[in-house]
Amino acid sequence: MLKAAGAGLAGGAALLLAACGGSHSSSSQATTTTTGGPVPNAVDAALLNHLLDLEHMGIAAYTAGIPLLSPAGRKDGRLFLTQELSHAGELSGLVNQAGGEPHKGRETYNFGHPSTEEDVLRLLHKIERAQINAYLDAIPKVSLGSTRAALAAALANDAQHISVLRLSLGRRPIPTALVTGHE
Amino acid sequence: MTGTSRQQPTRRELIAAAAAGAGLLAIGVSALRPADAEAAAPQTDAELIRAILAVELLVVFSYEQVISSGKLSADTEHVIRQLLDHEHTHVDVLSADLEELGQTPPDPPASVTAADAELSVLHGSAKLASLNSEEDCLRLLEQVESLAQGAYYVSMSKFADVKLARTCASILGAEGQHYTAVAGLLHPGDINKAVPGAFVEGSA
Repeated sequence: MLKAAGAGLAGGAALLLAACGGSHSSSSQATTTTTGGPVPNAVDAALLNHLLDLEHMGIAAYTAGIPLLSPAGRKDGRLFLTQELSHAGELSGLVNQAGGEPHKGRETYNFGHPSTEEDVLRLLHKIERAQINAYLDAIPKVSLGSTRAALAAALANDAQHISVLRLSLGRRPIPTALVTGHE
Repeated sequence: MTGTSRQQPTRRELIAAAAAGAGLLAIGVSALRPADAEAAAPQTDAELIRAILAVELLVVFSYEQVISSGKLSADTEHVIRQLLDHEHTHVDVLSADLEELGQTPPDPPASVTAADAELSVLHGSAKLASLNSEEDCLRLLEQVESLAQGAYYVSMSKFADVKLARTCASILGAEGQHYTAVAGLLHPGDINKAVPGAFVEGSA
């Protein structure tokens, strides 16, 4: 059974999260909201924490799956893992700004029994798709425009990931003109 | 932000506004001054969509010129035609949104010269008038996709209608994928060039 994200990842991830948190320009924009405008709130924090949960899952899946990939796939996977960590760092900062407590990753995730490269690619594809879906769901619901922009920028990066994963799976890398999270 | 009382800006002003908003205005470009951008800075949802559409029409024009240059291999042209189809869809979707807001889309670039003047707001030297190789073509499209990304990203924080924001987020995702496809053709095997950053915002 493929399990991940426990103690092995936690140390390195925490370091990277600390380095990434707040580094994205839109984080600071959110803090400049002044009187009269919308302010981030508990609903935002809940939405953002849901996205953070999915990013943690993605981090765990890449961490566990990379050893099962081909050399080229590992190179892609390591880059995508770093980018998922950046997304998690950004989301943690946004949750903090919304007055919430950023969720941590779970000790373990049950990813079933992937044993081949294709199994891992399918798993990663499924998680990236769930992330894109969740970003698209959250974007119209969050209070601040700057938060919407940050979420869209991360979503588009996840869309790039999924196009590379699809190509590796022998599928059309960019099947639709608008990213929906269903492809 | 839904009023449309101001005089409609020219294509040049729309492009300058979109590029300046995305941090893409090249220093020292005399044809497209920062003042142009300030004068045309989008204020309403309709103006935001119109500015994005001006960029999308430039993107479509650029893809069409690249394809007609005859410099692409058959395999590359096959990919680029698929991306062009998507860009046409983006234009259709945004045009419909703009018409719902009571405005008509801007005209496309009138000529290669006009399009190159608009592209000059981008950093870099790619020109539609000097596409001499497949590499020239792909490098130009890489820059054009960056401009499109910037136009969408900057608008994301400004929409009053959150449904428009969602639509544009979907398209930003597609533009990010286009960039990856074009950069993948330009830099085969170099994933760091194809997916260069964790946040797709358009590059300065």
